[in-house]
Amino acid sequence: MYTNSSKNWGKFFATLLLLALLTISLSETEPALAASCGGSPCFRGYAQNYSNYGSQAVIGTPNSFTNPNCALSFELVNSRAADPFVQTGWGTHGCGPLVLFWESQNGARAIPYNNGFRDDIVVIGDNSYANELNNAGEWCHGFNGDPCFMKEYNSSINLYNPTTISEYGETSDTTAQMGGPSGNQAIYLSAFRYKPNINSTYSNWGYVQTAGNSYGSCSNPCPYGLGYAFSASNLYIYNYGRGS
Amino acid sequence: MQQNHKIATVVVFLCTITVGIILIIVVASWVASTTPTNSGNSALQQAAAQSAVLPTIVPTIATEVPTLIVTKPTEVAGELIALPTNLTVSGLVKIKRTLSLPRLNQEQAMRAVRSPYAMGGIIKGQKIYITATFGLVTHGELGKDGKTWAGYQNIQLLNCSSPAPKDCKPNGKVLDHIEDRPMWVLDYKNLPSGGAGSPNNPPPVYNHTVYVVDDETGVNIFSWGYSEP
Repeated sequence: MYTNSSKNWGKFFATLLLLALLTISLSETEPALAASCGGSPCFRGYAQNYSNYGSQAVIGTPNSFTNPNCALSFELVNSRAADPFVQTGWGTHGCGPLVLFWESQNGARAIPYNNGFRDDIVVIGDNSYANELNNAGEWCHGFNGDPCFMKEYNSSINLYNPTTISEYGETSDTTAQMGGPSGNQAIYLSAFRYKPNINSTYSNWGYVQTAGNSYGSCSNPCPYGLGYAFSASNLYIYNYGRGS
Repeated sequence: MQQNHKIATVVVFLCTITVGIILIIVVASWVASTTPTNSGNSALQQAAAQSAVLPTIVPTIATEVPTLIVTKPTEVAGELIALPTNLTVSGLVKIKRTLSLPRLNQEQAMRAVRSPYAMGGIIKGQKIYITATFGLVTHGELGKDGKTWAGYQNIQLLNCSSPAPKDCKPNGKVLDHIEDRPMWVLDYKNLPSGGAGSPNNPPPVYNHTVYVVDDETGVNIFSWGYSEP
């Protein structure tokens, strides 16, 4: 009797296990749909550990699909040591076009950060963006050969010798592209350079030779792609969108 | 027999635990599916719903009369205009009173703003309110050495036949920096702006965008965002 009862209990137990596995597998399908930024911006890019006094990158500007829901989107080159950072690139705001953008943060994480948009410089095509500390203790944000369209005193940033440079894209809304014009069409960030010494002239800035580590935060699965390639010893990183 | 009894007892015990686990999973799944969140499907559905409600971003003229702050005869030229601290501080901007009248009127200044909502409108169900201030604008500050200037540098002035960049050409003048220059400061409440921040500390989407329009050239030179508490 107990033997038969044991067999029945065994079958019941096996059925319950099956149900449990089914329930778990169904609940696992939820994250596949949870592709948003979770209320915070999505960041995607690469970071390289180089002792530096500045960073530079050429950042493309395709006809980006960046303004659905008036999303805030950015592509930036950044020098930082944890959270004190300086960065320069392009950004959108006020539902308007892509314009020149700069930002700095002194580590206190006070919101809002020092930042601003230069609406008189609407960016089109490939452009060069830079951050540079000089021996007078001034951080300059540069654009297309103008080494200092915006100057800040390092005393207010407290970032003397950054340990890392990074290049990345960002958006506040996943209905927008990270930067490329459409799904699977990448936006390229290339010619990464870093200022190795405080007195280095631009011709002596180093070229980044490794892709580094993935930088940023994007829910898993992230709707944005990320990759890198080399062409004539020039590192390209790229991020691309979710489709429009 | 006794051994079978033990086996049956163990099986019953395991079944009880399994049923408990299944119940916990089912209840947790139900709670998760009924709790509103800012992530995942909810955010996507919310965004889709918002875009469905607001299919267009064509601006309309604000029905509210924007506030215009100009210097009255009883006020002293050169005084700082008292504005919300988070407005001026986050933009590194100071605005002084002037007795000079602007070349542009307020509507002309607003039309120069590089946003489809330059003239106001409704965005995501919220009306945009515009506060306009004309005065002498300074961006940044003089360094302790009395020589260097922190702030925007080398500003190439443009002549634009419209706000579109393709219609702008350099007019040959370059500002070393922006100090006591006649400008319009246009504060758009409910127009989203923001900083990029970092993954460690991403900033919120600010609920104000502030545009600065040069009175001499009629060009929107710079802007920034801040949040009203």
